[in-house]
Amino acid sequence: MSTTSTTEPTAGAPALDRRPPALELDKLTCRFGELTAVGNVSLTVPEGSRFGIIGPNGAGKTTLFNLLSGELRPTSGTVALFGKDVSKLSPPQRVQLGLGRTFQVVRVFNMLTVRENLTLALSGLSRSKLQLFRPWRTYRAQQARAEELAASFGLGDRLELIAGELSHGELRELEVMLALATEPKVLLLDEPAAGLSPAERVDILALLSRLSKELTVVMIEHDMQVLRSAVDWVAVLDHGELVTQGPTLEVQRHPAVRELYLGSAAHQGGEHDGASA
Amino acid sequence: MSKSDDLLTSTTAIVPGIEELTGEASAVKLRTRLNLGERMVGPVAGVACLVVILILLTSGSYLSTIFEDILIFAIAAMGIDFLGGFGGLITLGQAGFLGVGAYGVAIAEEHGFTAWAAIGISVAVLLGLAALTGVVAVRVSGITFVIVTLAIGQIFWGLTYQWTSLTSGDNGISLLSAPSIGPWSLSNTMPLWVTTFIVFVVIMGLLLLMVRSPFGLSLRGMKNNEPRLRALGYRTGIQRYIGYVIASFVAGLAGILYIFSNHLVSPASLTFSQDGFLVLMVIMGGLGTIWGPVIGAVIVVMFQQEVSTYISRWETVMGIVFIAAVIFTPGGIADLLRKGQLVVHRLIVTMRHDGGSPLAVATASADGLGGAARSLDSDGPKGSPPQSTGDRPTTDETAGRVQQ
Repeated sequence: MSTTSTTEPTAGAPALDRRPPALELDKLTCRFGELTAVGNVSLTVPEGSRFGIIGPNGAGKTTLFNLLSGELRPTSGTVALFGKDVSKLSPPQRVQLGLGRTFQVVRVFNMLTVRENLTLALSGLSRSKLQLFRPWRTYRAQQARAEELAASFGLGDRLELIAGELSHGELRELEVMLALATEPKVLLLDEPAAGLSPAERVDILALLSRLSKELTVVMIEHDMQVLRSAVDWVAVLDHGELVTQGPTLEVQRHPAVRELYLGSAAHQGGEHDGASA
Repeated sequence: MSKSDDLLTSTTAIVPGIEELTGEASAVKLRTRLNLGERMVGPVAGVACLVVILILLTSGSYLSTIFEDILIFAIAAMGIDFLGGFGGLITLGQAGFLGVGAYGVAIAEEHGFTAWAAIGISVAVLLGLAALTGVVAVRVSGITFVIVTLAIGQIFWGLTYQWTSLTSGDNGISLLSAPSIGPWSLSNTMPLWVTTFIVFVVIMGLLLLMVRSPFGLSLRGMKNNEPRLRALGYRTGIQRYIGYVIASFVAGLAGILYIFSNHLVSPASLTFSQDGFLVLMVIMGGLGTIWGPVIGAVIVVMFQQEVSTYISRWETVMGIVFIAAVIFTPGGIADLLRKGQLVVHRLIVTMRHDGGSPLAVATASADGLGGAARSLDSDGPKGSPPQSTGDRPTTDETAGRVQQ
């Protein structure tokens, strides 16, 4: 926090609207024994913003996501979703309130078909999920929605395939689709472009740019190219603490970030081109 | 492996159509055909059962007792399959609930209730106990769930054994009267028979319906990836609870039929080995099919009733058969039938494409067998697909995976 150069976090959206921010983290801390995975992180994510989280490996980014989605409970501090404290709610309860997420390691139902995956995601928030005596295939509107969703991601011809047989890029897309099917207001994306080929990366970027402007997107990403085109505000984590935050381009030029991020990138052979921006 | 590849190459050479058959479009077509074929297995098995039953109905009462046992244990086993094969939660408390259903009727009759009232009381007690124990059971999953359900079953067993003022302990309780509508009385062989069969068919139908419902899909999702399901808004505890109550209730209904068939219930019906037999039926028959456990029930009951008259160590023999079944057909007999169906299907397809050349038919069927044998060790890494187009799933892989 001490090295923060730009401290007004509402730059993404105009400050006039008095609605509560999509996400508000207040001194969020998570300790595993001696290790502080996330320490004292306070962040405000305005509604409709595109928010990036970066940091070296082990910086606590995914732990932070798990705290936001409810997979982990914070040691102290709170998470508020649209002004409502959700710190004590379980993951499904947070989904009900409009929080969707994807996982860094693809987590789809790999034994089920793509159609079944999407149907599960679509009925997650409907009452029909506890319906016992009507085949799920007969829910016409829902099936039409699943087909539409798959088609919009170019997976229309993959509906009857077992998800485990999809390519890595298609799995990433399915992962995002599952999260979107729950119609979230806030979408947490954990490295959506990880392990993708350059062509697939372009696909997923195009997909992200097509998301509704009202949707708030928080994204963990290593790839500076993806970040530059997908987010307008970046927070930097290191050793579980917030190093700095600000508009993407400014953060990229920040000396502490260059040392942290590009230092590690340089060791990996300079794959990340943040400095040259 | 390489042998079947060679066979395939020769098939491809001999049958010009097979190349085209494995192409992009026909892969999908083949899949839907298999799907349809698979759907037919259940009804065909059902009709076969019906025919056997009708034949047996005309014969002596000893055989009809065996078939009552088969149907009753099949009902309880289908309950295990519903929760285990689809939700991934194997329960070992099923015999306990079977006992609750049977004891419920017997104890109520002993206290002066009519047979119909006793059934009502038994059902109410069943639902109450399933709902109550469910609260404990669904807090855990995986192996812990198995142990907790076992503990619940054993508590019921302990109660029947030691609460002698209510259960007469080791001696058990005899049935006093069976319900009847006019001349249709469950104390007669034929009506009991038909009633058991109807209950069996209704429960099987309902379970098959539930497996295809949104709830059934969520059970499969839970088995496959529970954290993901939670991240989609499912409070999986509710899923588990409903599944557990359904499975336990089904076992209890089997127990109600059991007392009318057996006329006596004792703690022996609730022992751990009973749970073992039920799980055996499910695994031998085929987990995740609903109808598979029925075949398992036939085998296990036949061992208990028939083989035991010739071989005193019949349990040892059954153990060996069980181990063989697990090694050679991990998916159960249901899976074996599915593979057999695939071989037949290929035979038909090949014949159609070649006008029935005997050589082509022979090689195609050999390849089919090779494919089936290879996918037996399907836990290991998949070998190179036998078809020439490598990027699509091979047909035997597909057959193994579609529509569990």
